Amino acid sequence: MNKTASFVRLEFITVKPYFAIRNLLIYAAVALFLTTVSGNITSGVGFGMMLGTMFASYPFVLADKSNLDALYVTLSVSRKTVVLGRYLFTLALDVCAIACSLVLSAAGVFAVRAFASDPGASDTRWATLVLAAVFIAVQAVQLPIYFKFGYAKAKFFSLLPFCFVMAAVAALVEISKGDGLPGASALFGRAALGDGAIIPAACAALLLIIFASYRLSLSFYRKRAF
Amino acid sequence: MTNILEARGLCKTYGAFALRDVSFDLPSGYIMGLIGPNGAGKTTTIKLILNIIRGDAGDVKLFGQTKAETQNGRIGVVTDTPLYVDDWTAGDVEAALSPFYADWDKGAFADGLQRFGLERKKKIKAFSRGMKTKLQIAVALSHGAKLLVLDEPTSGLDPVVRDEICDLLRGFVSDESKSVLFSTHITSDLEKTADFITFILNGTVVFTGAREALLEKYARVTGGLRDLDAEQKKLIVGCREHGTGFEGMIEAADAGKLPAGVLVEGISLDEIIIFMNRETKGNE
Repeated sequence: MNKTASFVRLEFITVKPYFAIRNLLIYAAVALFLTTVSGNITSGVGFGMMLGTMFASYPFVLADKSNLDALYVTLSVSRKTVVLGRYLFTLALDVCAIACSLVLSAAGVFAVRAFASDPGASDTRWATLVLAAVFIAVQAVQLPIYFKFGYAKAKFFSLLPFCFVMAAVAALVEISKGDGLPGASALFGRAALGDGAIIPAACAALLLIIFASYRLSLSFYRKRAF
Repeated sequence: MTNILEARGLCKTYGAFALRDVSFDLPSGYIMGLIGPNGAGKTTTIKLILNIIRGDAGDVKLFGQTKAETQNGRIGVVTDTPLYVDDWTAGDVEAALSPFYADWDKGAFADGLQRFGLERKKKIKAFSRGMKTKLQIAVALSHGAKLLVLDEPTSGLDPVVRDEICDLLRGFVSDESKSVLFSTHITSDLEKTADFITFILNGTVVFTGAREALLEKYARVTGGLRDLDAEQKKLIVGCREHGTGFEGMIEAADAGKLPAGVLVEGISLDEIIIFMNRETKGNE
């Protein structure tokens, strides 16, 4: 096993105590509840991504608490491997969160459609994708902050991306009313219809954000003293 | 005699504290004690050796090679507080760390757990301090470490456990290709185990060499207040005067310069640290 794969494995073992069956069952119940109440999968996936974002911070919490950054040095793990490994770990968490919440949400929506006379369920694929992308972007902003300051000092600043997201959502709502940026409504309309050009552009932008985030984290972590 | 570890001119400044020009050699097959009062620079020196922090100057050679980062697999690290997650079990420690060591020996780890009475499924937070230290030693013994670096491993342990750990270290260096660097302020442990001593005070090495040489270099002196003249008083290190007389330390070579009434006797490592520290504080 190469060092990056070993490090990702180490990350999972690090946060494993938080994956207690009881906790996971509670999370699953909440996701199911949200989906059945709302009647769409977006809320379930949103909850899953929120958990993913929360779990992504745990290695930093534990690194602060148990001085794991010093452990990595004693294991001859380079700083580049630590940063790359943690990004891959976060990505893996996101994939798991999306997959699990999709399955649970689909089950929830199915239950609503099967038993409710007026389920109100709707096809919300695009909203779900946008939500997942937003959470990934939030993580991309948070990770460099954690790498720069460590969790304890970064705790406050790591909440800022959520504020930006809320501000952005509010701005988008205004814009989408048609009295904001010229052409914005049309753009959102095309996105909502699943325009073929919008999705690759959005994916490219997200990848660019993740790459910039990785480079920034690497630069910060190389300068950290433990 | 080949050196497993060579530290040359290590310097590091943290605000008001400065580690200055720390140099010493650790030959293979021996135990070196890194001593000094709290805050002297022992942990900083160890962090520099392990590459956990970057020095302002200086160089460390491990196994004859530079770049400690590439060498750390051959080093076993034992710290006051283990660098493991509290919620890990001993089994988790193995699962987490073993992929990073090419020579990880599962059997040796299992033997270590059994020998030290450590339960594989018990969480680290439920271990006593002594058990945590033993777990770290079990890990070090499982990846074929040639150099054990221990930072205050016996602090807070009872004498029985400390003695067990000292025995372990003596056993470790029975293989002459292995060495131990052992930082502590409990010098009685070193009197039982250390072959060499490096004494750091206020970020500076005041002695490095064989333990016996250090103990022979200095002597404890006691006498009456009027026994010494001004010139003789200058020879006393860390002199403390009390109601009936004085006590202090002197370089053994200068003992002949003292009057016959002054008692000159052997000195312990603890006393050397105390008198040196007192002298430094007195000069500040």
